[in-house]
Amino acid sequence: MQAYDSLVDVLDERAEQQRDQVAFSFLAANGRPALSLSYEEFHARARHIAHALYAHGASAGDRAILVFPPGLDFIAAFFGCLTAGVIAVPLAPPRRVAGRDAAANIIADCDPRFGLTTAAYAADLAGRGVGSLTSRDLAWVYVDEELQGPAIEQPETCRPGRSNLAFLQYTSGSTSAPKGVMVSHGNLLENLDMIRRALGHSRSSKHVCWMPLHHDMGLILNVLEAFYLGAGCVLMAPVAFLQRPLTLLKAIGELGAEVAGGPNFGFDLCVTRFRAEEMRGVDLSGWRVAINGAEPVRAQTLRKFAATFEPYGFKPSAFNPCYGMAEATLLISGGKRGAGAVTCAVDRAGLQAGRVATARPDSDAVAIVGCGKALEREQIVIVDPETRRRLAADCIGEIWVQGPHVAAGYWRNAVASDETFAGQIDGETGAAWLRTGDLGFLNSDGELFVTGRIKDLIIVRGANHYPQDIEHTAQAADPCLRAGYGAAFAALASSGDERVVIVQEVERSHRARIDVTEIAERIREAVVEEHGLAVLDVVLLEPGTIPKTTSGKIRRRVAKQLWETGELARMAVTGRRPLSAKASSQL
Amino acid sequence: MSDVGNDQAALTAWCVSYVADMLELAPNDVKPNAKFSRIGLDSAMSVQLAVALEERLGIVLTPDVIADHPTISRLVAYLSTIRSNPAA
Repeated sequence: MQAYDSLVDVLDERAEQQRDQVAFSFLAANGRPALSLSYEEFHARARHIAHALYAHGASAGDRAILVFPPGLDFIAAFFGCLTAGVIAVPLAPPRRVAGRDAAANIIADCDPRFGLTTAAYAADLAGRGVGSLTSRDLAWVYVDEELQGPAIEQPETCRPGRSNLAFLQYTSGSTSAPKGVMVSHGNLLENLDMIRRALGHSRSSKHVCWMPLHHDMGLILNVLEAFYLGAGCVLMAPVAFLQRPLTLLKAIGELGAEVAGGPNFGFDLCVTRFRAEEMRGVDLSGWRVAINGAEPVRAQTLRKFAATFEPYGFKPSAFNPCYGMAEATLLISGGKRGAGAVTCAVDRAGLQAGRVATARPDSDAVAIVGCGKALEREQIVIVDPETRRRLAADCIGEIWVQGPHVAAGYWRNAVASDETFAGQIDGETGAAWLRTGDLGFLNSDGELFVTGRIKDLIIVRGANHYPQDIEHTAQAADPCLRAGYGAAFAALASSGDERVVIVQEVERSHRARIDVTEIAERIREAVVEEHGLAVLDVVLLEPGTIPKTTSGKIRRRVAKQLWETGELARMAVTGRRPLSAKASSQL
Repeated sequence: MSDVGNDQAALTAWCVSYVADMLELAPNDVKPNAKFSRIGLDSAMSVQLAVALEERLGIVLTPDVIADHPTISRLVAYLSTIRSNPAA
């Protein structure tokens, strides 16, 4: 690894070595560049923003929330914070119809001094009444208005070092109890270099990124990695990709990008929106690394994508399924460049029972996709989560990780940090392990397969949702619903994507006179407004019938099994059609 | 006028069927006058509906079209104004 002490060193070096080359471009919805910044221009923007923070009295270790629409301002603000020694806290832009102030608990947790945004976006947020994001308790810095002023002249003594925090990544914890992963400059530099080596990147590895930048996969695996390499990163707005996914593929071809990807659903989207006339002349042969991560990778998705886009030069060897999480900065495992995906056929019943058995020709097999191998300087082990003993190859257990990219813990949360970052293997001493909470196995080649989760986390389109948050929203949708007697879990829709199912008891006093359809609609409305999630099914239950443990905890897995087998005593059919009746989709 | 009326009825029926399909609901449970949020449509589905309408009608819509016209009835009414008045 080069001798960097922080990302600020990387920023300075890029500006010195590659002044006039393009660091970042942002594509308009039509696929044409709307804005490009050279390394020198980008460096100047970051320093102007750092100066503005100093002018507002920033001192090292202050926190700043970053709230931006898609574009390059977020990245400049992020590096502005790093330059000023301020800890950046990226937040998701609030949805257009925000039912609830999702940022409020994060702001309460990280206690920021600054809010960074643009003047136009601040006006937009104020017009929408997003309370915490227009709070007067924060010193707001409009980064687009700071570019005319002086740039910072940074005294060498103020430069951040490897042990200083660069940013807090809030992807963990429920909305009511968010947990901010403390990512240091050292963690970032280590993981960026691990990614470089694992994926075989070089300065010619141009990236195209459509993922939101408050998502760690967009920020680290694309924006920061490309910057670290000096390779350049072209960005497009997430909504532009969702609307016209083939724009991404055209950009990859036209710009000669080597690296692009996203969660599994993005690959499905490219296939369902495929139109031959739009792909005419597009050459994907230069696409070397098609990253697939942040949600389960499906063998069928990879097959269909390859079949659709091989005629345009796409090479299936470019598929690079990977696995990671914010607690390990980002990447935990990834494939070797050019090796393609490793799939393995296992016995379905065995997998559900937590065992890996190679499928026999006559058994019910399921194809699972490997997420690559451990990175250099990292160890991955599989541990029995109950006994904390190491497990052998091909045994399913909890995935534990050790390495210089593992963060020190959660911001001001010793209890949660201890639960997650202080794993000790039975009978061994030595450094603590990160307990990922994910289940999986390593095969005899060291390929990691992720098969499930210990925690009941719901992942939809690469975003994490906690079932207790969704259950709380559902229960608050109508007074006839029993608080604490509901279960939310993820299930596969017949389209193949994960959606949330709500199983909920009604109050005894109401059960004779409720309008089941009306209540189900209220729950659907509340969940889509508060969490942005479409509900696959709402099941209302008689009081006292939801599965609970003897100590009163909701048994979500059991509820899901009963739902799958149709054994739940639903009060009335609340809408969902039988699967067989589903008409073929027009798309 | 009756042609426009027929068009609107046909497009409404198509939207109902399309939305029901995405949400895996029975078409009876998708009311043209219910807000999309009430039916439970998320933002990715809104984009999908807008794109499907673009392809069906051969027009270009903004990403906000569903948010600006938040029921099937209002969306269809809006679409018929832009289709009968292409210069607008």
